[in-house]
Amino acid sequence: MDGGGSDRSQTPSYDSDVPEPGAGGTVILAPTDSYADLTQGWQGSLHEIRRPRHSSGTISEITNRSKPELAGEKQEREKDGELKDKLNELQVTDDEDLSLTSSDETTASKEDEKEGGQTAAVSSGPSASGLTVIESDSEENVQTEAWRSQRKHIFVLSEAGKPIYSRYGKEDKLVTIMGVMQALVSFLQDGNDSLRCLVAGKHKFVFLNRENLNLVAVAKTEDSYHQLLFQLTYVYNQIISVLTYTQLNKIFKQRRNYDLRRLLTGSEKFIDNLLHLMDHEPSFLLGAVRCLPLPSSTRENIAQSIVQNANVKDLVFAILLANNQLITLVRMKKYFLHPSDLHLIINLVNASESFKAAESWTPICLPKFDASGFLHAYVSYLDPGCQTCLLLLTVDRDMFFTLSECRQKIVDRLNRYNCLTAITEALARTSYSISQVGIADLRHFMYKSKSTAQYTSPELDAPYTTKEEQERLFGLYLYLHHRIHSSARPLKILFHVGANETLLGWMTSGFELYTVFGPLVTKTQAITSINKLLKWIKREEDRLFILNAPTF
Amino acid sequence: MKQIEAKIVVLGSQGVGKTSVVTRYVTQTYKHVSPTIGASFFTCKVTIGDYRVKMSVWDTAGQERFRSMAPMYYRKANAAMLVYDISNKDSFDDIKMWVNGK
Repeated sequence: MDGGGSDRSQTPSYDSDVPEPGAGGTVILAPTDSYADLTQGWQGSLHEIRRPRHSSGTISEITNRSKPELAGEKQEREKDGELKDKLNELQVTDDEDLSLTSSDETTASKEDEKEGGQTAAVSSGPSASGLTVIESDSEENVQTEAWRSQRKHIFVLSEAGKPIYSRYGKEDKLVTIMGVMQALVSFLQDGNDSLRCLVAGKHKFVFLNRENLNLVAVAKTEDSYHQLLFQLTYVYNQIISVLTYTQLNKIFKQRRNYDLRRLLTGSEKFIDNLLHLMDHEPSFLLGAVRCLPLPSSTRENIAQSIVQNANVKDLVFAILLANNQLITLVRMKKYFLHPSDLHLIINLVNASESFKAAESWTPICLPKFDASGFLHAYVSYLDPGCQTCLLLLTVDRDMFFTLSECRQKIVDRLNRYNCLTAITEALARTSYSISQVGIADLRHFMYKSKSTAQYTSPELDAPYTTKEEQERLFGLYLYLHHRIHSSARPLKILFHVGANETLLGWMTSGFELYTVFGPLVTKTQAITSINKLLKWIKREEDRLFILNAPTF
Repeated sequence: MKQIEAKIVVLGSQGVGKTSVVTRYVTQTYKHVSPTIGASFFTCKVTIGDYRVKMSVWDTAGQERFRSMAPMYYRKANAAMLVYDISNKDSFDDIKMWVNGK
């Protein structure tokens, strides 16, 4: 494909020697293809996740790098006794093998005892309430028309068939339905096969079987099989993010019929919020993040404020977010943040009001970074209006006060250079409208730079101002994305004339472009337009993308 | 005036009102709070007699999954405030767990 052929108007072309718009010299996020997460889910990460326990994860790699004397740490552990042992179980370190001998046995048996008592209490609960479902409980009755008519159901159950999560309705009222699901899954597993998808009428039933957990989507939406599977993978990662893979695995190894809801209490809202975001935000579909448009000098200044004032040992990532958009990300050399991990962080901030009240300190597991242990996140909003949120992620659980001091210094410098005001203004201005792009008949677009895993998209203008129209637009993008990424027949270019819109999608090795035109546009016009659009994005790339990836 | 620093940790089951108690004390207002994630850190200065007391308060999350993190917050605390919901006996029984350490 070379630039400037005479048939330029018939097939779009992009000179592959020129970096695509938005491609920076340095990479800020781990680059992705759409579905990268998914394919890895099948082959890579499951295998990666099932690696033997003694092989070191990313977290212990960082911890060990900065703490060479393990012997000293071990002594300290013996002093601090069992509670600290329990803590260390969560923060998986390399010396785990050594500590497995005695202390682990005692905690294990104790946990068993404790659980035995509590499970007894729990099991009397559901059976009692199970009776009331059939007879009288109407408010949460899952057989209602309202429940049935939900467009996308998501269920999570344990391998033993115990309900863990349901997007709608109380999961403990769904014991029967989940039992049927588990029976279907097990039946096929018995024959060394696996159940992937069922279609019944307008509904798709998509199954994701992971070790310990089964996830099921039942949807009558535009989403394709792969898109639903992709969303289930996100839900699974969200659960890992709360518990770590290590803990999840350990629990189910000890008790196959453990009621995981106990440990997930309070985390349902993260799954709810994630599912809501995935139905509205293209970032998940694209495997990319949207950056807050800012002059590059301002962004550079903000990054410098962080680099200069948060240059402390063991700090892995510093992330500044506003309104689900990335302002900047500073990372430890050698380590990258995967977009899907960043999505989980964005979801955490988006779903938690409590961070607005005070500085917070919370464990978080980033499944792509290291599914076996927790990072510790310092979370604090920087402005009184609680729009700009700073997250500092470290492997050291005792660093809260150090990071709190860093935060103060960062805020001081940001104020000195009026950066916080610049952010507030950028947020108030909203992003940009399609009219600024100045291309006739182009209604909306999404552009993703693959190498940097960032995307840009204009505001939703007329006709996409109502909720119904916005959902319809999202459905069009789902369709376009599905057709282009279809595993049976992947496409480079798709020109689709619909009743209300004409769609043009284009994939190259460097970018993905999805455009929506008015219905009357011709193919030639559309191709001329997207060439113009690419030039416009190139011109604006300084503002729309993070081109430089600062490191500590 | 003499200065004292006091480190306080607030513990108890989820939903009993730990954050409400703390925000009421620190900000002198009642407001609707949402479940704490991990732990929140508050500071507050009061004068008692001849002493100016600088309190730093760790308001911990009550959710079970955060329980194993608790030692991190109470390790160097001068005082622990155990909170339960008077209308929920289970939350009172849970207090024993914090006192006895199991």
